[in-house]
Amino acid sequence: MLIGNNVSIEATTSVIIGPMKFVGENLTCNRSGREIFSKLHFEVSSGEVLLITGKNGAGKTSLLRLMTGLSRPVEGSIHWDDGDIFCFPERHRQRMAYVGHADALKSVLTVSENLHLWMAIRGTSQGKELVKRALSTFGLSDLRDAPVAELSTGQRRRVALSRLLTVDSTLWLLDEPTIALDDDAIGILIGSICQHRRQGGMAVIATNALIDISAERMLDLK
Amino acid sequence: MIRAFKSTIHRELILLYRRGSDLCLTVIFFLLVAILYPLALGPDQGLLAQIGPGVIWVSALLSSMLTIDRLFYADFEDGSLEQFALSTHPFGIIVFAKLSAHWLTSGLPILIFSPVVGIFYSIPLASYPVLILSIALGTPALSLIGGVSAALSLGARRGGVLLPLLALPLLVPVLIFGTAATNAAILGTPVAPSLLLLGAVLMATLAVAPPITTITIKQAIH
Repeated sequence: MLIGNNVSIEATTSVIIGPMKFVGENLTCNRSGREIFSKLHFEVSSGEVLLITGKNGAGKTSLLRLMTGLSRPVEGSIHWDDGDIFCFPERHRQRMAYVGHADALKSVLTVSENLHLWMAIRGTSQGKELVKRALSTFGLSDLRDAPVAELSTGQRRRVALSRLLTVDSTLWLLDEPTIALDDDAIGILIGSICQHRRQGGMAVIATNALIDISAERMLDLK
Repeated sequence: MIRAFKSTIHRELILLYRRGSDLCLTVIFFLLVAILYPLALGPDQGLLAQIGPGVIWVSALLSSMLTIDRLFYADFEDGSLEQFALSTHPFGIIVFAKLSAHWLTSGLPILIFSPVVGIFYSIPLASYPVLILSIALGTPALSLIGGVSAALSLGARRGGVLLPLLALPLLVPVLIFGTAATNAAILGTPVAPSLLLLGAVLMATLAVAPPITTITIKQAIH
């Protein structure tokens, strides 16, 4: 049994977030002309976790991609308290961090180089200390200078997830975050989510795996 | 925005340096193709000077296409493009930086080595400034047009095959005006019309290609 709240996580970012709400209303999503879901509603507030479950092809990833703003719904709207994400995309991107199926890592770069370059392009202020602590939290301190090519799939996933701790994002969007992770790493991830939640952040997790996390909101896609 | 531009170029150069082979590949391919013709045709200096500009331009075009398929595809495959699109910086800046990095690593080496190739074709020394200027004006256009094709072939099943088919017809004006400028310099006829047309092609591609590339990549990511 994994108890995420008991995992010791170092504070990495100083998230100062006011109470906020992230809402999707009346959403319809099509892919290749096929309707994936329709009239869907979700809501997640500061300090909450929304767990999205559903069988393969139910539209978990499609919904997450709508939430990121990478895709647009055929109908409906996704908005924060202060505006639609498609009307204010830059503000939305500042508030959101996304870990998708792909780890977005470069094999020829070292673990810390991957994080530093990603932070620079994302627009986060560079911080060696921040990267160090994020890697340490996910148990990657010893692999800081190792090329990503030498890492296992699970270790790569840890690196991808450690990026969450290097940015001040209110909303974490996680697509199957536990894939390839061992029990320790899952515990660290859950602990990180719990800490993020305590700091006023919110998380949306799309998964088919059993995660021992108390989610305030559930969405089962049929 | 400038920081995002610099960071992306920095990232691209590091990636290229680590891979190493890509940079050498462009230069070696350019030199080999251009140098094979004099070896095959024999020492007829008149003939070589006549075909020299055309061969240099065809070699430049083919060499710069050699690495263009990797410009976006690797980032598309590993999820980095998604992360770039979700960056707090405008995605267009990141795309333009990647195109600039491509020119730095393919067009610039061609520009540097083109006088060396000119020696093999007995191109008169007085024509070198025009040769260099035409390459300086033409190779950025090659990268920009190649970028559009690379973006269009993203997500296609046989993108690698599709890419040259898309790119080469679009590159014909650069080839024609670039060759015409150097030929005019060799023959002592006015070079300004060809150089101005080459400059116009560059200006047009500078204005049009990056936005088209950005929109096309966004479509591919969606």
